[in-house]
Amino acid sequence: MTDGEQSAEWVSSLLQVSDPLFPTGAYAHSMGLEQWAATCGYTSGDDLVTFFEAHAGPSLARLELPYVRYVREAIVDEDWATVVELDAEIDAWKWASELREASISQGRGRLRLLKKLWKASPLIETYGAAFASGKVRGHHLVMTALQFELLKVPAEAGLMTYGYQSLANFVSASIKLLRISPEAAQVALHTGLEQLPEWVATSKQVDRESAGWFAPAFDIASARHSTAFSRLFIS
Amino acid sequence: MPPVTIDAISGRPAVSGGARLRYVASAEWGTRLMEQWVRPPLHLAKAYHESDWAISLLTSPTAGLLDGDLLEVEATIEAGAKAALISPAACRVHTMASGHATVRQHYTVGAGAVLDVWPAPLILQKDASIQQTTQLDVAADATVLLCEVVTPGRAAFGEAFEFTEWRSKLRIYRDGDLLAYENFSCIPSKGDVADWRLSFPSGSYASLYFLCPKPLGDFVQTVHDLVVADAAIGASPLRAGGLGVKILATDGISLRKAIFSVRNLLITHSKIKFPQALQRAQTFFN
Repeated sequence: MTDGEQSAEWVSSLLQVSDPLFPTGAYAHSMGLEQWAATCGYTSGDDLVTFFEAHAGPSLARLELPYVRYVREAIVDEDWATVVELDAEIDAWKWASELREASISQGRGRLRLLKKLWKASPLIETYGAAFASGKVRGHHLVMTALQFELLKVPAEAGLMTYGYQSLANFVSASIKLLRISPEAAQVALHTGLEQLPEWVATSKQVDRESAGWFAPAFDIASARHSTAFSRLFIS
Repeated sequence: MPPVTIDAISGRPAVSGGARLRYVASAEWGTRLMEQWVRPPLHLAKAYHESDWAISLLTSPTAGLLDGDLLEVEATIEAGAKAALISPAACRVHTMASGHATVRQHYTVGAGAVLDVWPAPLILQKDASIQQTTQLDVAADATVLLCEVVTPGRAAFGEAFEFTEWRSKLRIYRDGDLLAYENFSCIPSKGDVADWRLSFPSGSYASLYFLCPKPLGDFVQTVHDLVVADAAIGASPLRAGGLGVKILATDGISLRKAIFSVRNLLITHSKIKFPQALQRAQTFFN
């Protein structure tokens, strides 16, 4: 067990940066759910659970969480060249431009605030300099991994937190999109969170060569959202 | 109707082959295929020339790809050259008891050059397994239309998503910078591509990448304004220029219409004179 795991000092800071009050602009994005829900005719919390099980969960397990881990490992090793490489790779596998821009927008918001709150952090300084010089795009996933290392959040807790935030963001959007009650939304989130440990466990087995996820119909819907006649969310 | 073959074809040694091609622009002759090396399971027809282009037809003289087969295509389009690689017949990835077939493609497109890759569908038959790797290295002012078509089974036999695994890795670099990256393993028996199967239960998939020095403007809207029955089309700008287009369609006819419509838009946008042969819908769809 590491020092970070023995101490609980990281908990309050992690709660702060993970809270919806932390202003990254996530509330303005559905991350593809808006168009996909319309395409599939989603109307209920059960539909949201289906979405978690068929798309959001596997995408976390096979693509996003492995990348959170790779970025954090590179930061721990002070291997900034790999961080830059991973940032570019993330930018390149986010095929739908709205989802790519949403990730950058939230990442930049997080970087801006982390800079203010942890002024003396060499990690923030190094990444902030790379961002300022245009070497990295500032993706939310990268910023999140960086903040986990900054706060010394245990690795598993970091992955669980990233997974929670992703699912919670979909749930938050679904209240407006599907008109489901807050209670139904919480039931859906709870069902997703019950499966999160398994998705996290799966993600740990995924090496960089095989990390990836393929969802062409979801991609098409996400792309079409950018030109949709009406929409509630930016992405 | 002949019976459906579901047993693995056995007793045939794996084949390893492909093509290495180099196209060069000549002020006098237009584009010419200057170097070629071809080995089964590929056959290269004599290049056809039109409007300064060289058009090569790649076909497979074998039944298709089997366990252990390796197909490698390496094509270099030198500065200013215009080349197209098309295949008139679908490539089947056959039923295999174990193992997988491998397809590797690497295209290098020089300054001001044009490349159009328009293959026939890859048909992923029951219990088939394939690993694909595609790399595209493109100069900043080159124009590329890279198309891939995948059919998840033999539609005529009602076969869909019964293949074992489709693994694909694609990297596109422009002037050395990573522009697009796809990496996935699709195993239908594990519930993969649920979104595709929900929307188009036995439908086919096409992916197009379009790189062009001209700005895209509101081209995404133009693509999304296309109306093709029984097809869904999504277009998205890539991270640093260029466009990705994904298409799903109920059947081969709809897919063919959708690809044809999108290609014609892209060709018009490029302001490059494409030969008539590349502006017709191919006939390999059922």
